[in-house]
Amino acid sequence: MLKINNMRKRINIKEAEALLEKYYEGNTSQAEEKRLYHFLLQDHLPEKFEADCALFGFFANQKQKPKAVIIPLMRWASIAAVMVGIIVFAKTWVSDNPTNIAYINGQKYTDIQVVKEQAMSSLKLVSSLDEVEECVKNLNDKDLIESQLAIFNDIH
Amino acid sequence: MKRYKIYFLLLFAIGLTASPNLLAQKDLQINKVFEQYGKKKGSVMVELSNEALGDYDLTLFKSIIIRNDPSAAKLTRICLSKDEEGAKKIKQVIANGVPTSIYLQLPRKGKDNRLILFNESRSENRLTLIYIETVNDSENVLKLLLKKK
Repeated sequence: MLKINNMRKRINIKEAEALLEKYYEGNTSQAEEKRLYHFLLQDHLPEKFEADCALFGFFANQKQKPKAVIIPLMRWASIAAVMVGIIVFAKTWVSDNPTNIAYINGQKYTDIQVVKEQAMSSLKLVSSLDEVEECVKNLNDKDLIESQLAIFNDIH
Repeated sequence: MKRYKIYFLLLFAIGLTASPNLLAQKDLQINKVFEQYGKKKGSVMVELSNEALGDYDLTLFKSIIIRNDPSAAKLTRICLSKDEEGAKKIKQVIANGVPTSIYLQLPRKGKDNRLILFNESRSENRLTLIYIETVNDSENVLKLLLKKK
């Protein structure tokens, strides 16, 4: 317990400088390196520690690398699961909600009466009553085939 | 967690905008006409879904009227000629070598019967294109819709 407390104990600038010197000479123990690491993690350090911070930061990132691989995988898996759920939900939800829109000269109208009026007027433009009767007759396959064959009979 | 919320909202928005009706109609060439000219000046585009029109319940009704736009008429005719493949031509009127009126019965998609109605009035420089999806019989739909005027 005492050891742990010692490790967590913050060092001052002078101690840090001494430890850094020892570190670059390759004489630091693991516990000293940890203390240095925690010291350099602090905010508002003097500028002279910038290079040391960068070096320790690099090592810190390297240590975190395995985490960095696992977290994105889990994230993507959960995002994919959420995506599937949303698509299924959205499709079911939207299919039950009608879309009734009219665009007149680029202006959008959602009033159902206006939309229906416009729909009916477009139907009026498509055909006359006689033409409808005629084309409905054509829906009967047998009649259609016979009338088309009759054309060839006339030629021969 | 914030990131998840953003992803969730983005996907939700995408899901909402991708209307299933539009998806069902996506395989047709005439969809280009609706997309390109629907919101332009001189056009009237209507989209009705799961609504009663006349006495008929339609899964989808989409129509567009375009005035004074020869390029739109040309595109529509090209699209129709492609959509005709595999469709049953109920009616076609040709004037001076150009189709002025076409009714197409498309192959069923799921439980829906699909119809395309096209009319072009050269004297009025106006074209009308209608796309219908219905679970009801095409013949009855045509009778009812076109007689209810």
